[in-house]
Amino acid sequence: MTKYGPVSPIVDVPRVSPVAGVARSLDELRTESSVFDDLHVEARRVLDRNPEPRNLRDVAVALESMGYTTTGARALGFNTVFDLALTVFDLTYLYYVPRTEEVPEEVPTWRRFADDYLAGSWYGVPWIMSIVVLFVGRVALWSSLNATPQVAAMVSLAFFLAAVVAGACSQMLARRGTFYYLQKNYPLVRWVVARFLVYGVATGLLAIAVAYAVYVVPVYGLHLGEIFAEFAVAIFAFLLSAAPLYMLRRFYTLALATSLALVVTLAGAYLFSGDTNDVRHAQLLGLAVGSGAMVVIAASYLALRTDVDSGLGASVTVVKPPALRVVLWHSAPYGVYGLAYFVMILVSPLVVGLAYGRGLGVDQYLYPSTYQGSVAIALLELVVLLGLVHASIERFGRRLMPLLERHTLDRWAQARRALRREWIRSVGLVVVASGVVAWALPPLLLQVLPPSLTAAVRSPGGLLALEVAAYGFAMVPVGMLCSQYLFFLGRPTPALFGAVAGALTSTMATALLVHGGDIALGAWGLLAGTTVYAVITGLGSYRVLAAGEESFYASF
Amino acid sequence: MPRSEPPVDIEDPRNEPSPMVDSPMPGRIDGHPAPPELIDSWDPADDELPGDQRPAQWDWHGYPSWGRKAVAVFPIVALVLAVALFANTTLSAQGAIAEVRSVTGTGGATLLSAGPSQAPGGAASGTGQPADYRDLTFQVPGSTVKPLQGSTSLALSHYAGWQANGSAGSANGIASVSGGLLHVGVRQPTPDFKGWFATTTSATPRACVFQFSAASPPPISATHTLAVGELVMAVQTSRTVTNGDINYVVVAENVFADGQRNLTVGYSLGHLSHAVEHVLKGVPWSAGPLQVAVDTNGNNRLSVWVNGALFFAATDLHMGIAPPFDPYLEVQARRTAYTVAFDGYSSVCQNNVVVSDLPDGTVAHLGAVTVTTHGGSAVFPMAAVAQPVTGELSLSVPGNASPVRFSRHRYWPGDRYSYAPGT
Repeated sequence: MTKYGPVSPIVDVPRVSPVAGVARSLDELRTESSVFDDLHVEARRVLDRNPEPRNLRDVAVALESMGYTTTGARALGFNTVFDLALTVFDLTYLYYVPRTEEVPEEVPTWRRFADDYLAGSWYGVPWIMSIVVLFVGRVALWSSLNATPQVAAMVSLAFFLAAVVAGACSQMLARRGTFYYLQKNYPLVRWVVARFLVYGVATGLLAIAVAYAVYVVPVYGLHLGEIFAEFAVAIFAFLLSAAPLYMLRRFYTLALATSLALVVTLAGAYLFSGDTNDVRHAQLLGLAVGSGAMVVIAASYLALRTDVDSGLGASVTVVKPPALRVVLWHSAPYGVYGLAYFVMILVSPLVVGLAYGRGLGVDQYLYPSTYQGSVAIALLELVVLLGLVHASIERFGRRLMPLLERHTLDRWAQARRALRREWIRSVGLVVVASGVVAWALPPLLLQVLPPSLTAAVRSPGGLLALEVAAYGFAMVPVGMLCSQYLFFLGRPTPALFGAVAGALTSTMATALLVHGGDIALGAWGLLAGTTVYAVITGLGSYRVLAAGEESFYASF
Repeated sequence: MPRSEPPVDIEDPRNEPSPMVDSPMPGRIDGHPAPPELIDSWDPADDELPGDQRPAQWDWHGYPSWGRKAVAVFPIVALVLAVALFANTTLSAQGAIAEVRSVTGTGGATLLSAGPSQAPGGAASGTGQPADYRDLTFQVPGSTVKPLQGSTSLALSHYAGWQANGSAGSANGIASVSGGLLHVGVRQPTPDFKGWFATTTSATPRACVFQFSAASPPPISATHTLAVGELVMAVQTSRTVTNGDINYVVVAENVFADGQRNLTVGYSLGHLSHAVEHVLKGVPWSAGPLQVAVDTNGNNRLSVWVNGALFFAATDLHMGIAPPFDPYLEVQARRTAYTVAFDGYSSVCQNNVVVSDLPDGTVAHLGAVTVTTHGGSAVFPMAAVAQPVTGELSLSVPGNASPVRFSRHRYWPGDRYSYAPGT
């Protein structure tokens, strides 16, 4: 609330007669019945403002909020407001009514953690299902194992661009949409979703058109360019339409919609499999992917209708929305973060593909199947680790409020120590778990997956790329958790800085490393980028958490 | 906060609350203008500014600033721009495109190599690089189109760096691609020899071998005794355009009206026109596909390989053909319409066929040759003058249950492939 002009300090003060001398105790005050009655009134008023004053300071604050100053306290016979508070505090016990607290059902810690882990793992459901279908059916939402290298290059470029732009839009939508959704401000949820989708679609189409006109068609020709545009639009539509489902936490709907989309894609791919023309086959497959995206769009629309519109009720609710440009401006850091995050983890294969093309004598991006296949297998470890990040941040959210309520203002040092311990415990757990997964999962996957899917790893440089990329992706959950801490406390700047620095490092380091022609070294660039991301967000989040309740109050 | 306020005497009647907001009162800071309507603000920074420094539009919901206008029109402008970019690019796509050639195999595996550039959409392109003249096959249909800028030659559509020209003239000459063949022909009979050819716009270094592959020249349909049709494969100095010299090595199969054929090798020297031909070797020949490799330094050394066998070799010549060179895929005809067909051309600048990016220990089979991979590469020995091998390459990769088999493909000497194990 913006305050304008000073507030009169005496408006709330009861007009009582001054008392000669200074009172020392309630017994003395009983001789002044009017003052004694007034103190009882004030005790009830204090409780009205703060039903559970825990200490003298709480009472003093309440009295000050009622308009008492030193002068007002002296009018009642006390030297200071604190002296007045001391007396009123004694009287509050006469009127204190213990509240009936609803004791939450005790859930074992490990079970709650497991629930959170599983809930967090749902975030990766579309990717897990797509990968499984890709392995089984050789075609999925964004790729086909039977694609020619030229078509694979187009799909890969399309996926990169679509993921980067959709990642930015999704982050902005999630931040602002969740803000209103948790307030049950459904009109504004709908308002935000509609605006962000319109602006996201406009931005995405413009970005795709620029890439199509400036790079893809001049370098690859019209036919491949059309495939790029088709896949970019379809993948972008799929990713962006899933954003409201993530925001609403409609994971079952997301899984169902993804399943249907995969069925449509698979059916389309096999219906068109008789076409021997690679370009035409890819175009038809793009249409199938687009049809799958339509399924997700429909599911997202229905979910919004169900969750948001039902909250509006039958009556027409009129709200005054905030200025859009202000909302966009304040969401922009989260959008840049989403963009930089996807660039950081996806740019390495892009740079390697450019080096691969140069090595073959063509000055263009060429799908580096050995590198890409190895890195894709390493990426699977995120499926295991995403749930851990989610569980850690949920645990933090549950512990923060009780922690700050339990630690009163005069015990801030303990609160800060507790927050630092929480950071060290959670981040340490994710670091250790990520390290173990990065160390153990690649050899395990190589044994479990069929040889046809691990052929890339057996190619020269493939194993090195897999092992290094595994540790590169292991740093991502660390950065994600630290970013979530920062977002939780409304401090996106360090996370934004970390993601941008990580993206730049990943790009430049990969380019430098593969300049000599050994494209397997590109994985070190990925590791460098994600390490920078994890370190910067880690330091930033530790600093913010170590500031304790100041950060928490500042977040409001 | 109340604590920062000056002491106020609560008995002072002037301190009574007043409904008149604007009237000066003790305990209040005077000098402020009357506050406008209070509006909840999201920005805490507003609280930190003195009131008189807050001339901002409090009712910012309705203020039509430029920023707000820009935000409002952005989606429409972005969509219009996107549509315009798509339409303009699609309608005007042109330019040489570096192409990647791929040979598909089982399990999604692929062999990749750089291929010749192509000009998309039928647009003409006169630019070419020496790499564009390697392993050229004629798989994309097209025909000669508009003249190249600053030249009388016609661009060969879809084949960057190739042009067509000749004494037959554009009205009488044909250069078109269909059915995997480059057809070069003369449409109408002429009393004298008239020719038409496809050649390159950029030169090939003399260290390279010129490999031509042609279908069997057809018999001529004319009955005139002087009627002759010639399939010509020539290697000519690339300086013709600058100094007018018409100096070239020629390998030609002549087809006569009586069905007789001969194959000749020679060289010609001339300036601007009427070059004098020196025949080095001529033998009767029979119909059939022709695979010719020409290796020369343009001066004293020339060797010609036909269908894999050495046909002519000499190192004591005085040809005076200044390198670098251009290949000519050509037809000559007299008193007959005549069209020949080429199915491939390559400027071969290296020996062997190499498949790289393979796991060590991979066993590779191509035709009758089997090699084992060392250092990530399988090397099939093949001299630069050897004729290309057409067949199915198979790779037995360690760890794979079954070998990876690639589709039938023509492997020219000097080819370099990168093994991609699946996308």
